[in-house]
Amino acid sequence: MNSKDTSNLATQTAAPLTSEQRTSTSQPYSRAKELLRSLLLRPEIVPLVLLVLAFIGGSLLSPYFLDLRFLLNNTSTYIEIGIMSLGMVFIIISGGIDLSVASTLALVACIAGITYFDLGVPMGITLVLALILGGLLGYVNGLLVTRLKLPSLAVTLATLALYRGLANILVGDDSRPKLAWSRDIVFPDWFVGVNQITLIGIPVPLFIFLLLAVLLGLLLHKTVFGRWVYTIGNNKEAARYSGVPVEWVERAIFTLAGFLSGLAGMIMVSRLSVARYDHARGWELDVITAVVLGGVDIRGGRGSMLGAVIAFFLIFVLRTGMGVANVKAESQLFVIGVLLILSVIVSNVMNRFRR
Amino acid sequence: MTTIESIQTKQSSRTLANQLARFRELGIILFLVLIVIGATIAQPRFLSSFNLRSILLWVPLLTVVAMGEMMVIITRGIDVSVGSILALAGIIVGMIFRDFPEFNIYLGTLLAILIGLGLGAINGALIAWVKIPPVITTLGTLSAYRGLTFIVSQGRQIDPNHVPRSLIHWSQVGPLGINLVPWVVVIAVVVAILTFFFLRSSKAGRNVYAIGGNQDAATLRGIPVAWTTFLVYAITGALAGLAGVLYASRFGFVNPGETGVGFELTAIAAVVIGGTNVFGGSGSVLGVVLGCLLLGTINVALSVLGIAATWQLAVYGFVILLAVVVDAIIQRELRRASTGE
Amino acid sequence: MTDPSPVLKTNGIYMAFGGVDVLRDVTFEIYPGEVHGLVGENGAGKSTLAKIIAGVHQPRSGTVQISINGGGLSSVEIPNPHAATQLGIALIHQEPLTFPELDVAENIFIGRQPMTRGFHRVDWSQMYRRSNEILKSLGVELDPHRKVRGLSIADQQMVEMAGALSQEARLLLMDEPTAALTPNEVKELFTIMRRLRDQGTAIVFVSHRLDEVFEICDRITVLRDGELIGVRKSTETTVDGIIRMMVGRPLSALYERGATASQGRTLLEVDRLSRNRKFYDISFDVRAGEIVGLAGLVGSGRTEVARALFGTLDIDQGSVRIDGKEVRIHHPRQALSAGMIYLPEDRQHHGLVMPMSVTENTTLPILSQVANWGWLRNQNEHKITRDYVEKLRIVLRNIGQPVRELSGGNQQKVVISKWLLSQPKVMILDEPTRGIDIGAKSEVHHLMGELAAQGMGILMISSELPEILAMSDRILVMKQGRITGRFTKADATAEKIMAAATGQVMEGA
Repeated sequence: MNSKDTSNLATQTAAPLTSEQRTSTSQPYSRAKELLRSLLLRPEIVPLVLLVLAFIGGSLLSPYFLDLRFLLNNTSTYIEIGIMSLGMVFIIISGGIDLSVASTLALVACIAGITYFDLGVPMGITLVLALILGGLLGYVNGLLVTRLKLPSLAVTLATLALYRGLANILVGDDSRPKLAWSRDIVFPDWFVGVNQITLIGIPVPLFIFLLLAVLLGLLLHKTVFGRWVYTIGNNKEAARYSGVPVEWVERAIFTLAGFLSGLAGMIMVSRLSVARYDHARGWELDVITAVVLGGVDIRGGRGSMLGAVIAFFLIFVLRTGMGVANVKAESQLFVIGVLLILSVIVSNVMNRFRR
Repeated sequence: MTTIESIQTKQSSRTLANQLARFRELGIILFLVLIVIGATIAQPRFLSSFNLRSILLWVPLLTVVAMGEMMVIITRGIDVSVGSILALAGIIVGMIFRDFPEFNIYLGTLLAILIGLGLGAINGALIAWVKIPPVITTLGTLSAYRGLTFIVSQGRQIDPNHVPRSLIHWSQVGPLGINLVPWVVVIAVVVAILTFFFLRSSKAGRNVYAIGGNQDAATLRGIPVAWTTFLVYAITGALAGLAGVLYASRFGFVNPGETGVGFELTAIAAVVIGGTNVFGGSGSVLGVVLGCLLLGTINVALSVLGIAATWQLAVYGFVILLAVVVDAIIQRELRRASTGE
Repeated sequence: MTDPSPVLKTNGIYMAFGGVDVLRDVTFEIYPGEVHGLVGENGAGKSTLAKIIAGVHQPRSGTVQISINGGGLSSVEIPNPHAATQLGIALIHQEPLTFPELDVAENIFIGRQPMTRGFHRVDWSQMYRRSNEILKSLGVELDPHRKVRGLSIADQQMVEMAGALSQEARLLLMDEPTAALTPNEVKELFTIMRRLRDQGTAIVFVSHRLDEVFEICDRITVLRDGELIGVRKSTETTVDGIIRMMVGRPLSALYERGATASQGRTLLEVDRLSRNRKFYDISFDVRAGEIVGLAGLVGSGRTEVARALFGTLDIDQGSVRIDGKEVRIHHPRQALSAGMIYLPEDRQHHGLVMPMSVTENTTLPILSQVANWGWLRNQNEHKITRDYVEKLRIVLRNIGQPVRELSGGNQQKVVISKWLLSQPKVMILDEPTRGIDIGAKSEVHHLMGELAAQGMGILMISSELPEILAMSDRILVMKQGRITGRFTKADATAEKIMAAATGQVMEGA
């Protein structure tokens, strides 16, 4: 019952049982019990339960909570976390970690600002360049990890500082558009305020997030590439010996994470109409929390996209709820930190039951 | 098994490794000298007693924390919560000084150390017994402790007029009236020496290396892995608490939003520059102290040369990367030399 | 063995892991001053018994008794390895557990370093002095000041033994100590073991290698399926007798090849392959339908040649042709698409992904082919896996179960089936039957014979002479990175192979 058959929601398929091993699972009652047990022990259960609880708690705290429009609107405040966590899922499942996602976001945002304002490049092209840049910054991480065999923790710790530092050097403590500029030097209309546009009733950023979640979820669970990612997280050497292009896959997922950070960066700039070096400062914690809360094992090899998505909504509800209850941002910090630790403890406990 | 060939490889391998260790420390000193020379050329006023003192003031804070961080990294762990521990301990003690101006500063320092010890102990317990990976644990406590810092202080900072004069004197006067070497420097030197002896001459200290070198072997040899791990994080917390007081002494304020933010990065940078292997098992106090000196010099040089503080973050990131990359290359060459692979 | 009282005795040990019985009612005793062999097939429980005595595991029931101070036996608890060392029991592991960054002396004394009086500091000079003494008493030449990193496995084992001695071990448990040693190193190890035995130490020698067991052991205990079958003096029994006790049935068809096919075209051509410090000037070929055995000692470079062919090790010069086409292989993926596969020596770590299912492991190398433009097709995977499970008669509960739950022999079959799926032309097998029960061994051999008969070319690396002699059409021998012998099945003998492998003539092999 401990199968890691990750591409199937039902965990087993029957193979012809040899005569010595006929088991007595033919009774419907015990099979149902087994199914229920395996369902309950799925790692996604924890964030789901917490989400429901948090939602109930939130609605008790404030009438706004049950206002769907309010909630949908608010998702945009944190949606960048969600988008970045989609990429982080791949990296953590493969056994690595990326601490530089938020810094990449900031650097891409700042360079985009400079490219548009200082260099005069049209916004459409700037947008495309920004996305490419994000991928490139992620690729650098991947290169350092695969070619020099450096631990991803050390590398991305360094790029966490380096990338945000570069952003700081480029725009200083200022922003783009600069504070000193006149009010009419701004990003183009069509670019700004993406969070106020809705598509089939939901804000565009949320739409993008959900779309990406589905696409990347399919990539992770239903393709060869995804299976490779799981295999690498479980046993990198055996994967290599079996012909899995380990280094290529690792570079690819870091590039993906970088691209998603770049995308998140552009969404944030659009939302806030400004690019600053301290965008998303400290958000790598939220991203990792979201992924770990979602049942992805920090040591690699297990986890699902669905869990990460549920966990994002959990964090969203928590933060919105706390905001509505007038809990200060810094105090929210305390809650998120404790949440991260608790989520690992719970996942450890559940693992022991699963055995 | 002791053919001529193998004896020769044994000896050459030993001296090669030793050479590289010495090389590392010499390399840092060389780098240091180069930076000083370069900075002096660019700005002749660099070589002044004021600047020397700036460096000397900046280094102790980092050194104290880096000693703890070094031990954590030797055990193959990491602690990114030191900045938050520094802030929380600093703010609590700062608040006490603010509300009870007659409070004894030595008692206050002791209190800060104990607070830090407790916070570090929480890290240690979660890592050693609940078995949560260090990066996750300390990432969580980085956040939780920082949040607590705000909650406890209600967002208000500790102003210079709240910090006792005698505490600030620690950063202004030194023993025997030698103000060039303020008391904070002495404190840091004492901490470094104590760490050195702990790691070199105590069983617990040797166990730290053993755990980082081969945790399975350590367990099987009866080394108390959990307790030693716990101890290392607790000590690091205590040192961070001490650093909180030193911060107040040096800067004259404690701000819940600023104090210690990003400090863990600086500490890790110093540790890694100092030759401590990120994979654990080895590291030297001297190397890390030199690393702190180097970073302090870079810091002061940057400001003297008029390069904005905005460069700091990038420089740290770059320096960590450089150190880790150089280490990786050295390890690879060492491996090639001994096994031909 | 003149002392009438054993130094250790286990009574009625029962041990199980999960739901599987591993040891049943084992009563085992060992006397001071003897080397006692512990043999049995894989899964017979010999390693587990040693680990229970060493405190690594705790038995579900049963007791362990130790003689205290040369007196009678009294029951003891051994809750962890540390307690074991306090009782004078030391376990020497197959892969030595050392601290690479610490020096030899500290490796010996870690956790118990001598301290100075008064200040309670580590007394380094005493540590180095005592290390020298111990190493000398073992007859080993190692500098206690040097770091352990870079020492050979044999030397690291010496460090471990020195560590055991420094704790005044009365009982040494050695778990497959010769697995990674050259014959010279084994000889030196045995000399040291004899010296220790003559000094009164009791040694338990757990091993698969029956020839070595007979060479060094005074008595032999045989386990089978967790039960103690019997104890014999080595002088009063034979290898066959021991094997019969291990297997429970007379051995007939061991090392049988089955059908041999006529040789066809050349599938693998290796020309002057070289890699500095690993192997030099390696040239050979493998034809369709033949099995080429690659013999040699541990460390002769065979696995390195295999890894170089498969793309996990770079070469300095030389060329490789597969089925006539020249190939440059830098990654296993390229080897696979050229039609060459490699079964690694270390099944646990390189051959299989233990936590993942049988299906996932089996389809791994050909995943892109089983999928539809990158899209996984579960039906395809399951069907293919089931096919091979039937074909190779793999015993399992269902194909979704994690592969680590299978027995060693079945795991190897999963490895083989996963490679067969990619329909290779050339198979490189590295120690294909290592650690596999005798029963499963012959199945694997039959399989190999069938595959050759179907036209595959097989390069088989093996350290078991009987296996090499029985299975190979041609034999290559490597020594220190070079090919030192080439034989056909007809003119190969064990002596000639050993001579080429060691450069010396073996006595009465």
